[in-house]
Amino acid sequence: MGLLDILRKFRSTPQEELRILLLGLDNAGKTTLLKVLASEDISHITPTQGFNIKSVQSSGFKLNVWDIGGQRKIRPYWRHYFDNTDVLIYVIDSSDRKRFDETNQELAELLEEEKLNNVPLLVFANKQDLLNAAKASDITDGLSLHSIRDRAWQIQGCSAYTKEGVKEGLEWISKVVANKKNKK
Amino acid sequence: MGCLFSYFFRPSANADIVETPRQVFSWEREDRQAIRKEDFILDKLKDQTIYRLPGSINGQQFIVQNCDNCIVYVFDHTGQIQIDDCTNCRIFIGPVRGSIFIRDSTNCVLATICQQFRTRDCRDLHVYLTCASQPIIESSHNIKFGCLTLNYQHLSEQYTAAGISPWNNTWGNIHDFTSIPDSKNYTLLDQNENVFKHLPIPTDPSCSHLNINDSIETSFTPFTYGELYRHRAEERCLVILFQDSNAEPCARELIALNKQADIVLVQTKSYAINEMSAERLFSGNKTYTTLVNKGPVLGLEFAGVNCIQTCQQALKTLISTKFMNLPHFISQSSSDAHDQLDKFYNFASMQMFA
Repeated sequence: MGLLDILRKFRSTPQEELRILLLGLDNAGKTTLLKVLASEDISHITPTQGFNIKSVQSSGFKLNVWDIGGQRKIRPYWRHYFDNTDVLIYVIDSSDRKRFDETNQELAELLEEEKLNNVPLLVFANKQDLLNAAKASDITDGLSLHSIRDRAWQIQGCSAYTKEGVKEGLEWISKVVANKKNKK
Repeated sequence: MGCLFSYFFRPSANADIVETPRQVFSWEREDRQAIRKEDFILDKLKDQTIYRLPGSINGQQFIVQNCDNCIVYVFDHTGQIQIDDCTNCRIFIGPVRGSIFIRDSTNCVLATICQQFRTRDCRDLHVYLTCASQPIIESSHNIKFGCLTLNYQHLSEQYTAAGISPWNNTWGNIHDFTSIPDSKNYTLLDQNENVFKHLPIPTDPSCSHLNINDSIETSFTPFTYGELYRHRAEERCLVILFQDSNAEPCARELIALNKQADIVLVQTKSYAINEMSAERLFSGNKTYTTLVNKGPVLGLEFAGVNCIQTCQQALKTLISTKFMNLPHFISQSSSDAHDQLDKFYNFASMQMFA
């Protein structure tokens, strides 16, 4: 049974919208990733003050991706976007070693949020193209991802700038979403 | 639209199918592994002066951290920049592809050309910028922003390598994530505060051939008044030069001619206007709407007494004597100009956030 068949079944249920939330510290590369997902130009990106959203639609099925600003001052607003999230993508600047503790902390807090219970998590270890980037495997250890028991998760090294690794992350999401619908 | 959607709508790989080994990512290749990270990180230096000449960084990430009383010159294009925990440092970073982020630093001078500029937890900085997007500050105080005027040999190629245009500079349009009521965490420096008033002039013989200078007349990024002029009442004029090899040389000469007549350059912007926006900007005039299809246009906002008349005269002189057949547009009246400028900038924002 192909993915399209599974999603067609999903379409006939009351929920017709797949909602993806893009979070992470400021400067992680969330907006660049969003633009890459939408096959758009990434040369004029500005720091996000509020949020960006991309919507795609086909045959009555809608996909919404929400990219929320990550400055420390505005992280308290993240909770306003949790409802009905189907997938959480957490983006990390792999080359910003000074803030690994900070991003670990923010992710840990997100994983304790009731509204995000059981939501599959994809961690993009972004900016792998930069010299100072830590490997995805090292970041996995630092984030204690292996101790996650309550949801499906995956870490994927990528570079939104070169576009490498992004496809692999999306493929994992497709599988996870399809599995979830299968179980219902 | 297609890329994201296609991953949810094509048949998934069957578990029985043998997966082909995945590609080697660029960061896994040997030539990348061979680069010494240490050459691109300045850490725990004190009282030192560091030079990096053209070709030495070549688009790589560069980091300056835990430094005190140092002077750093990077005369090359770079990747992402992080400046952390520095005090009393004076730093120049050449064109940055992506963002430059300065954090937990005090009493520093930073001059740079970048796609994005960010601070957090800083105080007492002088920041000279060519910045392609709105600079942002967070939890920072007493940050002074100025327009960077600079030129040196190879700088123009470095702009290109970093994907930065000298015609898109919003150095003074600052967004403060932690703004305070009745006060401001930042101020803007006027045109007399050249960068070398605060950043020491590089004197090492290794870079004398670069002819580094900060004069307004020769600066690669033209000096724009930007927010210094935003609320002033002087007459405005919009000049648009359509895609052409002579557009930039003409623009530079127009700016210089106008300056002699006390007409200031407020803002410039280069972007590809789509046909729908062109229809509205040029009030349906077909000549102009077809010209936008040639490529990105170069828009210049001038201000001053009798601005429109002066600009028209200056442009006419340049076109007739030097830049024949250069397609152009210029405001015809003051009220027109006001409306055209609004549209010109609004369409740029809309297209960017589409």
